[in-house]
Amino acid sequence: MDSNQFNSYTGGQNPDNQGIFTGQQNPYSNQQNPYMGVPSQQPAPNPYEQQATPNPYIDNQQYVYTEPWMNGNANNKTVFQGNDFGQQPYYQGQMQNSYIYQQPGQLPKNNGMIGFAITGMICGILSIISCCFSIVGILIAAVGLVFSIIALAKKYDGRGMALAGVICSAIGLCMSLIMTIAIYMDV
Amino acid sequence: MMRRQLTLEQGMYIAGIIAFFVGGPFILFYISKMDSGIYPPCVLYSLLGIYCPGCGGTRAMRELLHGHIIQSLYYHPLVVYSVTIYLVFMISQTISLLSRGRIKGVRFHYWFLYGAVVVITLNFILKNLLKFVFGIIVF
Repeated sequence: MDSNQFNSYTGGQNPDNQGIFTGQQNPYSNQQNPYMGVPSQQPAPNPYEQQATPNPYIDNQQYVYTEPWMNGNANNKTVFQGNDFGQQPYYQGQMQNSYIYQQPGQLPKNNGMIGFAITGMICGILSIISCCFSIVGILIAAVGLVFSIIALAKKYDGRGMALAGVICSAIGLCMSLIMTIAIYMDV
Repeated sequence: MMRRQLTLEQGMYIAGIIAFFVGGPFILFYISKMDSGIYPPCVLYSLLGIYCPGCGGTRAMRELLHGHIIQSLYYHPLVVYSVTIYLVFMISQTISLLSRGRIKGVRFHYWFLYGAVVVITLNFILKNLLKFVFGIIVF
């Protein structure tokens, strides 16, 4: 397809645009354009049309076009801006469906570092049941705390497990410390 | 050279093999010295008479190694719970490895760990309730 044919749809933004569809000869300016509104006096024959409107090149209304597969969900829509044809781009639609387009620069949720949270929680559980072993319990609880806090601070996966790991490790550390003090104080 | 990224289950499978060869002999040695009386009693139990969250673990492991599953559950249910999950995971992953993925192994679930916390908490509360409310000394 000719590249000039693509440029012709961008309207006035492209200085090289000498498109065949600009100005009053634009075939999309008539009311048979399936993406544009139709005058309110006429019934809307287009099944994609959401509301009957006057000429979109005169007013500044937005025209919402919903794809048939979107089931009429208001969040899944393409917005057409009906501003002056010569000044604004012909098509200002933007897809708002996050399932289709990912925002650029957005990190994926799963960054594959769930091992820190799992290790922290396992160490927390082990520190609770080994609190009678004094020093061993303290060491395991410290390792669990470190791993869980790293998982929380770096926003790794498994935030709930990391939080549970911090709680379990803190309980294990407290119990191990009490046991150790009791042993060395020879209570 | 590209390093192959291990999945969570593959990493846990390797950790399980290492734990078997490192922790297994340690547990056997620890339990073999149990009857010699070298281990001091639980400090919390000696001080306050309260069962600690780990009380009964060694006895439960000994009973399980002798094949007494009910007795092991009675002493500390966490041992049977952990060993069951470990065996199911390792055996299913081994089968999955041998069948080259045609048979899917058991995947890791978060509730394995949350379940362990629940078991420890319930065991701790129940044993102390039995002792202090109903006057039943478990062991």
